[in-house]
Amino acid sequence: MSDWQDLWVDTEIDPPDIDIGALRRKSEDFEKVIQRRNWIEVGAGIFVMVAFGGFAVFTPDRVEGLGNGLVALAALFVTFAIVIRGSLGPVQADPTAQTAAYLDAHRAELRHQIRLLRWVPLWYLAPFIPGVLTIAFARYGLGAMSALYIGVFAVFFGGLAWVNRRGAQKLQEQLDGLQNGREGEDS
Amino acid sequence: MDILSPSSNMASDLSKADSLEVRTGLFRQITGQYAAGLRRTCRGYERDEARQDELMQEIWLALWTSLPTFEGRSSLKTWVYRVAHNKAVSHVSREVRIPETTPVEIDTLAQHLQDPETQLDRQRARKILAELIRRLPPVDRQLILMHLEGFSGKEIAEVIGLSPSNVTTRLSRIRNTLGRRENP
Repeated sequence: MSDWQDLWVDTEIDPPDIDIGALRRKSEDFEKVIQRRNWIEVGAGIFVMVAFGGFAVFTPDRVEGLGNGLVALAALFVTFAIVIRGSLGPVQADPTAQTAAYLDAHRAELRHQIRLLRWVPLWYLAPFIPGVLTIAFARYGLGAMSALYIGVFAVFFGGLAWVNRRGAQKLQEQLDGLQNGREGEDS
Repeated sequence: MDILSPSSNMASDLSKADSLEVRTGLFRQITGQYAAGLRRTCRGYERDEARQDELMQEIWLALWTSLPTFEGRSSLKTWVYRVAHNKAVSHVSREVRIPETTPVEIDTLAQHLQDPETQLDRQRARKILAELIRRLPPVDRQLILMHLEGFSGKEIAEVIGLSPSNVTTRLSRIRNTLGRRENP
């Protein structure tokens, strides 16, 4: 095997040109991006809660107010679910762990994210449906306008579900890649 | 003072306080000592040069970010390679693999290893070896790359989290897989 080793290490490598200041900034930027993403997720939920909560209180029509209240409650539920179940953002396993443990953690996080993304229609979108339907029927009754209103939301929700499903598929491909050669860790 | 020793003062200082000066010093030591090996490691994971550069940057960033957690319980060398391989495994898993279209010239590589002077230029032989390594499953790839970088079985076991005997067995199997054409 020494032939292989000689061949492998006998490579000319240019000395690395690393700007530690730039690396530091990149590291800090990365942390800021994570923090910002978490704030956006929670902030968006709070915004919807406050806005629709306000509509619920001040809308003269009781039924429409109920619909707004249901949307605010849905936002509360979804924000709570995000905080409890974890963010939908990229996977972060501890890179300083032993590889076997790192891979286990990485796979577990991927599976968790895949589950979350696949079930977005149920836990993220479905809670808003009662509120949206109530508002539509309260405002437009049974007719073309309410169908249009509901249709717009259906397209928007469908788009969100599709994007998340695509995200889940990409993560599944990553997971499949990590599963290949798994026998090496188990033996 | 040997800054790279697990018991070095700088390593323990770093664990006590995230001093920028100490962190920078240690990072410079890492780049000076392991840059070549880490670059080769990237070649063992990614075929495309741009992807190798991207992986290298990710590794530097991960090392810089993780340095405050280094407590000197393992040697700096094994810690650095642990981070590097973990980042590399994640990196390759994020890309959709494109099947290799050029047949790997394993016979040519075997001939070269038998008679390096006449058969094949070393750069080409290295490329073929790297291609063979990239075809291995993740853990096997890590094992052989660390072995080629001169890590002992015990060190490899420590980095990966396998038993030393398991490492020996697996290395032997990989040697047979890679080298079966070497000695027909």
